Amino acid sequence: MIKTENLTRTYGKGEGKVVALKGVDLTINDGEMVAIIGKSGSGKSTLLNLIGGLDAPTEGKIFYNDTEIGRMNDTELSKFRLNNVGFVFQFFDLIPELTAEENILLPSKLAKKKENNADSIYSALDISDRIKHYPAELSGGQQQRAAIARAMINSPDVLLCDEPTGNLDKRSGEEVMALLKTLNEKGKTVIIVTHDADIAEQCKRIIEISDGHIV
Amino acid sequence: MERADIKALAESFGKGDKAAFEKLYQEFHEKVYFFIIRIVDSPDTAEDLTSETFTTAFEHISQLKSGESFVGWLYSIAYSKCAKHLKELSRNISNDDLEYLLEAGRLNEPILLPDDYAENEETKEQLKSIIDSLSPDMRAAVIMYYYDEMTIPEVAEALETNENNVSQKLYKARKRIKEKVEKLIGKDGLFAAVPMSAVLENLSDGVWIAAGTALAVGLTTGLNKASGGIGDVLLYITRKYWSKHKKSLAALLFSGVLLCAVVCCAFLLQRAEFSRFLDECYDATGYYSFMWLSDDTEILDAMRTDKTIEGTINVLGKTGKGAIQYEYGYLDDPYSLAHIPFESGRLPEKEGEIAIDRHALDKLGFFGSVGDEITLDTGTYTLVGIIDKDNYGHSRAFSRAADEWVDDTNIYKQSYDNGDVKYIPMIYVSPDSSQTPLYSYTMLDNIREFQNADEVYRYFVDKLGYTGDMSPSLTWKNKSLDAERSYKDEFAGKTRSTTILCIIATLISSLSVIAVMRNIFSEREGSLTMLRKVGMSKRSMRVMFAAEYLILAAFQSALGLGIGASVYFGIYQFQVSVLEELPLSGFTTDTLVTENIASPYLYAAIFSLAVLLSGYLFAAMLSHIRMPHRRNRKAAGLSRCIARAFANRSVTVIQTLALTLICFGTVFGYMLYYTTTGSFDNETGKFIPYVTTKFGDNGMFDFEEDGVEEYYIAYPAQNTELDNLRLSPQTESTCGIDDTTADGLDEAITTGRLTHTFLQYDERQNGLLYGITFGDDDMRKFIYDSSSDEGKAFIDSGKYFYGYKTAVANKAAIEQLEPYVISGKIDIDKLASGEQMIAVLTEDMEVFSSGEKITLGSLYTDNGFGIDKLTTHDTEIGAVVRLNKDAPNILKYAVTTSDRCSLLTTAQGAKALGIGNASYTEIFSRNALPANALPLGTGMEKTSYSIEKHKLFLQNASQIGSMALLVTVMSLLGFAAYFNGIGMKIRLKEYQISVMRAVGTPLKKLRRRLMLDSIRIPVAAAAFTFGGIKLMQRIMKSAYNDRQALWQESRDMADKYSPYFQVESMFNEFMQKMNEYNERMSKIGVDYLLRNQMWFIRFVLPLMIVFGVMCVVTILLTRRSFKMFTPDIASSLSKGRKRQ
Repeated sequence: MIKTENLTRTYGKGEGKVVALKGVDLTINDGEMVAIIGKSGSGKSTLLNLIGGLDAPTEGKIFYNDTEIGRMNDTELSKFRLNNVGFVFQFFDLIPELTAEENILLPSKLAKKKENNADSIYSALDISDRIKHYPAELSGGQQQRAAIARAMINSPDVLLCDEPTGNLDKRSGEEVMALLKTLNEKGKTVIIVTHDADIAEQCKRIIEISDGHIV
Repeated sequence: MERADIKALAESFGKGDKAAFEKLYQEFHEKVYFFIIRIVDSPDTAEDLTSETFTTAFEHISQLKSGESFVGWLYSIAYSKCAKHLKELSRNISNDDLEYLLEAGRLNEPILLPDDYAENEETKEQLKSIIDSLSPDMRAAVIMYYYDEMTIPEVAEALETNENNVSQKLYKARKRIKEKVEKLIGKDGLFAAVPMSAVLENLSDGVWIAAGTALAVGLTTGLNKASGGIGDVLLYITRKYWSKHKKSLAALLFSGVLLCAVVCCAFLLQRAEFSRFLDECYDATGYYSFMWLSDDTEILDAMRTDKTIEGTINVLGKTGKGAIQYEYGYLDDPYSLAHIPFESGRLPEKEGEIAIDRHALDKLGFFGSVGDEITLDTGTYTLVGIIDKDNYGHSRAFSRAADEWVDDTNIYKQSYDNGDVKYIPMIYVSPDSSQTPLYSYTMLDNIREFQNADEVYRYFVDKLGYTGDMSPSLTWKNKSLDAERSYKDEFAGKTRSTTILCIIATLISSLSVIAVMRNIFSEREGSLTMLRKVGMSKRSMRVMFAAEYLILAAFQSALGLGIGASVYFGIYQFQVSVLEELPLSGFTTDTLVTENIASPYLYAAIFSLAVLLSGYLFAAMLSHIRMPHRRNRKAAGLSRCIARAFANRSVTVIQTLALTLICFGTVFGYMLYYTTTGSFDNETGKFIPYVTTKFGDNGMFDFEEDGVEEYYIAYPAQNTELDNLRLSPQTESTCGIDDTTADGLDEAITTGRLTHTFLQYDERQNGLLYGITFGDDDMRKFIYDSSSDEGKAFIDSGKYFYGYKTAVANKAAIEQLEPYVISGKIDIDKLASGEQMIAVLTEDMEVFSSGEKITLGSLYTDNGFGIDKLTTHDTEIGAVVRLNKDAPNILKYAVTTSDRCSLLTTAQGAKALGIGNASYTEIFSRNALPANALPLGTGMEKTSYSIEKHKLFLQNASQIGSMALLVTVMSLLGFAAYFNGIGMKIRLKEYQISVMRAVGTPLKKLRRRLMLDSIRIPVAAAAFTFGGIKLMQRIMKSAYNDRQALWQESRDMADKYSPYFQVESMFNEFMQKMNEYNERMSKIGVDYLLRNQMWFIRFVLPLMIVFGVMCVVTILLTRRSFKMFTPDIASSLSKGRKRQ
């Protein structure tokens, strides 16, 4: 379970201060598929980054099964991300110098896992024949599938997706959504940030954010 | 996808192959979407229209005429859909609404054009708005032609029109774009369109801005001409970029300006040094003197034919630059005055009267008599006496003066030595006779000046009846020839060393520039690509870059030269005002200096230009190099993955090269410092610094210990006969101590007016001593055969001949030796009578024992090998003294020579023993000395410790100053390139770092990894330098061994074919090889590279320092650079994406 209490995030100081999130209280249960929607600048990506430990809250707390991640130092937080969270980004964010396979296996190597379910993930995502290629040699859809594989490799409980279809054509987007739904059906908690109503509608729960508040 | 592939797929599709359609869809879906969205400005509509386009294409594939025209056909469908959509829209809404919608769509973000990722938001916005403001059909033509790289026939097909129409649309579009850009430029001012202006904006000086503006006008006009009117656009973009990236501009200019300034300053310092050197040539000897042998045809020819020799040729007497000495001395000795023989007239009695020798009058061309007026360089006098030319020499004063006279004018001596004429004095009443003796005498300085060499020759032939070719030893002055020789001997090597350092510094600076330029290129890539897309030609781009960097180079050189000259001016002012040096600067226009020392301004400008151009070329080259990905069968391990993700080969190469060059440069500078300030003992490898002053440097005397501030250097007469000892007139230091001097010194010593006195035996006079005392039989025979009868008799006598340097000290100093006596007893009286001498040892050695009988002698040789004349005196060692380390330096200095063992006596003892070979006398006193306490006929220079120290400082500063400057700047620039590399690597890899962190890599792990990667660079640089030097050492050691082998071979043959001189050919061969070797070594100038046993410590030291500094700085900088990543990974990721 993910729980936030009075989660606030501000950027800058003084007159230039921008409040991205204002006292957000939120609970997401295990196995949920949640869409966070809102206009540009509403704070939805900020919320996702805070939940995933990519950013630190200015105020408030974030709990993962009663463990507060806001108090963790960088090493602890890294370990937390490595084992508990998988990220899928709009721009795929694969390291261009590494092959798809190396990108996918990176978290598993960091976690020093001797065995992984890589092969089954490759076949599930239909990228077995493309894993020896570099990201530049893959299409957008293939890159996003590789990114999902990377997010899945350490079998995290939570998948955090920031506009996962935003940079894809319609068909690839649909494929990615189908994948995420399958993962959710298998018990993973999936949180998707999107501004696309069609995507949001495919989720079990929709949380709308406006001006840093949950509406 | 290639056109042939598209054609093949289209044809397959035409035949009903759905898989082919699938592939074409994948290939063109995004392109068609982007094409449509630029026209309709609504993502949803664009998506719909894209789908419709492909549906239509699928349904109507049979209408496609050929596979080749598929692209145009597809776009024509897309364009039709857009046109239809816009038409429908215009039916439903008013024209104003349509305009509004277009405007709104234009501003919609994101408009995902493939190349639309310029860093410069402003440029991006402006270009985008210009393109978007075109009419839909024009915009479509531009996008298809420039963005999608379709051909004109394809565009024509897509727009359902003909090719002419498309060309016209493109032409109009380009024209419209140009007009729009010009309009924008007009807002900001046309003349501010160059980077120089961006720089000048920060300067308040109106003159500079005006100059920059003028340049900009010229550049704009030139560029417009060269690029067919597109120059304004390019310059606008350029100006916008530079004005927004002032830091990049400063970083780019930093290296070149600094290098230019330092090169300029270094060569100005060299010019000043050369100028001072020339001046010292004047001052040291009073004139430039050239002695040459009759077979030196080069100079003889020059003398005969060169009509352009500038300056003054002084044949007789002395002259000096700005310090002409007319007075040679005073006559207050009644005996001398009473014995001056007059041909007619009398001694002068008042000022303005003069008595002159008959020969002098002849040479002056004066044919008058006593009572006439005579004009000399010193003034106009009444001639009251003519000295008898046949009888002078009877006066003691004149005898001494004559020696000096003859020595300085050998030509005269050669011509008249066989007659009675030896000297040409004149006597006049001293200018201030109340303070000085009544009479002064002089040597007729500047008796005549000649304008060129031919005049000298004619004078000697016509006036002096000289019949020879040209005198074998004529003193003359040819500054340019002397300067040229001095340059070759002294300064060519220094200029070469400086130039080498300049080249190294230039290379390092180039690396720094490459690093900055790569950054600039990547920053500008977006806007430049955009410009290319809208039709700028490559030629226009090149013109822009060439103009841009030429202007930067000119600005950089001007700034660098200004700074360099200003810094040098500061140094010069310090020299003149604080160090009280003569006002001789590197800004001199003296042609001797300017023709022989490289131009500071030209060299600085060339090196500065080279930095920018080579930096630009290499950066451009690097940006084209793409490292191919390697195909790995197996996924790499974690460590390797991280290493690959962070690898940035070009930056690493730049960093490694920079550090290696710094290491080499530092070691090279270190070598130059050592070889400039000393030499290495061949056997022990010990460094022996050159003695740069006459005091203190040998560790025997420290001025500051006793607070003596003033001293005099007395230069004795140049040619002396003492007893039976005639000293060579060809050698410089053949002075002696005569009775008067010895009396005067004794008196001074006795009365305590002289605190410390010593006479130093001249090393240059003892060339034979080793042969007599220590030589082998062959050598002894060789010397014997080369000696006169007197010399042979001496050698036959079998006596030991002691050639130890002899010191003379006063009684007080000798009495202080009592605690250090190890055998015998000091007896002052016996020392004064010459009966005894004291052996003074400075090390634990046994050379003499007290009571030992010795023969002390001085030699003279005509041919340089044997003994022609000698004086000998028997004496004994009264006491042996050992001055240990604890003995006061002042005492050591007073009673010893620089040898480990020397003989000591008093001034009276020296006189009694006939020790006459003192090269010069230094007399230390706090008070001015009376004239009669000094050897008569000597020049005397008053100086002070502080002046000598300043001279020493300047000497060292000028010797190593320019090198130190270059090494410093080199290091600065190299470090700048290196440091920049550390930051750049992290900045460029921000994206990779952020992704790694997002997937769970701790920052600590990444930091440690990058630190380790960075540390490898100093290690590699140190290793390269180490290996390089080791290689050089091996090469040089091999040359050294060759020399040693040759030496051994020569010695073996000499032993075999005794006597020695019979193997002259072998000796000559050996000497030739030695010279070749020495020449080679001197060119490299790092002779101590040969000393294997010590190189380790000496080279490792600077390397370790550089290495240590680098490692520490690397760690600190990496840590610091990493701070920008914490704690917000999300924003780092976003920034990193932009860079990607």
